[in-house]
Amino acid sequence: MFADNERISWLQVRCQLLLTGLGVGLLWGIVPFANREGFFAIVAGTLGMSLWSGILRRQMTVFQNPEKYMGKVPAWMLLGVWESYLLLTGGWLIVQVTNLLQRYLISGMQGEWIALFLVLAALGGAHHIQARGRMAQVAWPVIGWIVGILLLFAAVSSGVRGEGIASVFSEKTELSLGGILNQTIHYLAYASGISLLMLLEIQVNAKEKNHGRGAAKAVGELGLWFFCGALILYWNRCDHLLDVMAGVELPGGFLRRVDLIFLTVLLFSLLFTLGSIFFYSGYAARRVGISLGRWPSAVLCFWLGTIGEQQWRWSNAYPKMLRMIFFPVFLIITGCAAWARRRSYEKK
Amino acid sequence: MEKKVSVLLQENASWFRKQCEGCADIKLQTMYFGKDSEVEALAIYVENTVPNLILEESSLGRMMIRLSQMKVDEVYEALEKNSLGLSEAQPLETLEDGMRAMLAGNLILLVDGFDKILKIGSKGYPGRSVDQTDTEKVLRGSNEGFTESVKKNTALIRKRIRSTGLKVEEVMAGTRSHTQMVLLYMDDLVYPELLEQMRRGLQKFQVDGVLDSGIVEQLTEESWISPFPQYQTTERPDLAAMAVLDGRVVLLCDNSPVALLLPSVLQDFMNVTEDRYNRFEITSFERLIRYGAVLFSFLLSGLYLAVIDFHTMILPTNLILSFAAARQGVPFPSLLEVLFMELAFEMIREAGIRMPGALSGTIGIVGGLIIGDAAVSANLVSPMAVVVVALSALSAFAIPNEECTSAFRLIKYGFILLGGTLGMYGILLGCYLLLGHLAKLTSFQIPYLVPFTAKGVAGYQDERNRLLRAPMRWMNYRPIYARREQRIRLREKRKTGERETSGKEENHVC
Repeated sequence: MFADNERISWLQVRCQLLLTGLGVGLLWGIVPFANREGFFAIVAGTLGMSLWSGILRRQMTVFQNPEKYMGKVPAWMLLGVWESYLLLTGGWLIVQVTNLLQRYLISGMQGEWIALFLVLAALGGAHHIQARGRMAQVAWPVIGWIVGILLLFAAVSSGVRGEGIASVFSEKTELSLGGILNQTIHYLAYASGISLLMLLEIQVNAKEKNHGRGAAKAVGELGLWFFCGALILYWNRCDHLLDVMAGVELPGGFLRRVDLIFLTVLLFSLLFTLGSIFFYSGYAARRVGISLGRWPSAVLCFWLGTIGEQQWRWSNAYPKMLRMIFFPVFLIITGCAAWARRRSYEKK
Repeated sequence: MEKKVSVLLQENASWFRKQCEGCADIKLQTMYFGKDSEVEALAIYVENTVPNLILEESSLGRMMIRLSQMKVDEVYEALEKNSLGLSEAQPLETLEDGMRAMLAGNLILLVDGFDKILKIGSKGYPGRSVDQTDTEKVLRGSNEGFTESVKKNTALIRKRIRSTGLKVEEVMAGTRSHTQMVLLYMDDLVYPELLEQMRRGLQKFQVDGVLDSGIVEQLTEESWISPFPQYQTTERPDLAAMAVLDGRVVLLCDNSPVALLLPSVLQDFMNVTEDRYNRFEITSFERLIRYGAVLFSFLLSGLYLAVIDFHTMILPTNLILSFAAARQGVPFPSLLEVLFMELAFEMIREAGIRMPGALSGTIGIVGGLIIGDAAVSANLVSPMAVVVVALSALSAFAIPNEECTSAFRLIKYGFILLGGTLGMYGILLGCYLLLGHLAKLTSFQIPYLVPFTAKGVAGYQDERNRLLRAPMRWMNYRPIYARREQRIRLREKRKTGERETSGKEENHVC
């Protein structure tokens, strides 16, 4: 029989990772990397992320019970970092999605209402570990196929219109190692949320053989998606994939605005990301024995994404916060977790 | 505390007379056995459930005649040893047991000097004979359907699975109705936890009457608030037998021709019995059509509203123009127009079901053609809205299970409101919430979205029967309902030096 044991399969971990990352990555993440140095940065960054996920995988026991391995104060500090990252990311996502929806899908509606519906739907989706896993497992193949096909159409269309893939190699701008390194750090900073991967991986059944590979594979696959997206952006000399999609023509011409379909499909991924933020905010708190639930983070994210944004325009500083604060802090946390784990083994 | 049967007939008879006071349909008939009519007896039965006692042709009649020809000692001996040649005679120890047996449609016999009640099985309550089902028609396969008799229904399944591995467990439900229910399962295939959960579910509630399996279904479902059914229902014995062979449990309820199959997942509601009888190519194609119909049934009307109200630019220009031309002169907003059409269709549907058979066809014609045409001519609705609503309704009919159809029909209104007020954004929010709900739903701990979510689960063997069905010879495994060690359903016999399968191995192969 199936057991209600709060455990998921590695496949569900992979699907959750892909579904969470795809929308944010394709709509905003890849934009700075749509250049020659950016392509190398995506490849290098993906390798770095795989390595990082592998290191994190080894510290799983620490993140499962941080109070036991690190002590009470560091565990609470860790929770503070996690929660602040999740809240800011949630708030930023609400700002971005609201702007996008007002621009493309429902122009007449007030941003607050759009944000409210978004938050309520994200809260109303599955809020159980196993249910989230199942949801991702069913949704990812559908979303993946549709986005893949639309990207393929975009690639074909731009290949016909533009100079095609040859332009990437024929361009005369010089590649600098410093530039690639700089962009790689940017890529890693944008994807530094991977350090919360542990919250996902500790749910996997310990008997699962492919435990570690699921996450690494997903990181690799996401890198491939972003690489393709960046390549298409670069060919088309556009700032946004939606602009590229607006020019795509489907065979038979039965639909004109492919960008709306593309956005709607990716919106599912964004909604899942927001739902994950709310869910893992409560889940992270449970690591130190607090039962918060999803509501506090949902309310705070909504406030940050609407009133907070109107007052301070803080979302513009979010990418900088990722680079300057969260990325180094997450690296330090990974190091501390490794040290805590080692120390616990030495004690034994 | 139940009352033991006394050796004194008068004592027993007065108890029964008191209990049956005011029940004109319960007959208490005094009779005498033995050569000299020395032994007094009382036969109790519900009118119309027992054949005429004086008829010599009936086994009961013959028994009575034999008893009246015996000596006194022989009468008691015959009753004690059940040597009367009756196949369905059973001695009962308590008066309450006797009462229950009599109310179940049997004749009970109380004999003076005999401290047991003799239950004699008879034809039982009047009921319909085995007929074909109207709700689950197939082109290929058996045409037999369940009836209202639980005994007949059990026999129809036993007819298909002639193995003692098929266990039949009787349960009584309803404090006043005393309805007999039967759990059928293959002993070696079913998970004991599943059976235990079902038994617990049945004992959890005290209800006065269980008049149909639908009452049991609603009381024992895990998520009672969900519109989605968590038990598959069927009127087909072959589908029920198939479910038993898959490791599921069949629950039959007396007076109901509808069997409950449990656990059930979304995929079960999309399958029909023919899916296993037909070739895999056509089955797979039909199944794809059905899944497409599901999407159309709840999404189409909402999508139409989203496109014409919010995202007209998504369509080619000539299509937008024809949409606009079709809506010219319609005074209502498109949301109201579609809602009006959908509700009108629901009314036609409801009227068609409640009307006598001969008139229901007329209702369809009057409602669908005449009213629809008149509404378009009067500019109440646009022809495009009629097409969309008709397509959506047609799609709902393509879903094989009525309960599942109803669930999707209901959520369609949510999508209409979302599509009509928030456009594609609303549709997407609806899809997210729907998928979230389905992902949460379980039936006896089996996730509702199995087998689509089963891959990667420890110990899962793909039965190769999802959106597409594999060729029959590749469908080696039973679904996830069956015990893990009994998952193999089909295997090819060795061509040379083949040995007969025996014992445990035989159980693996259907």
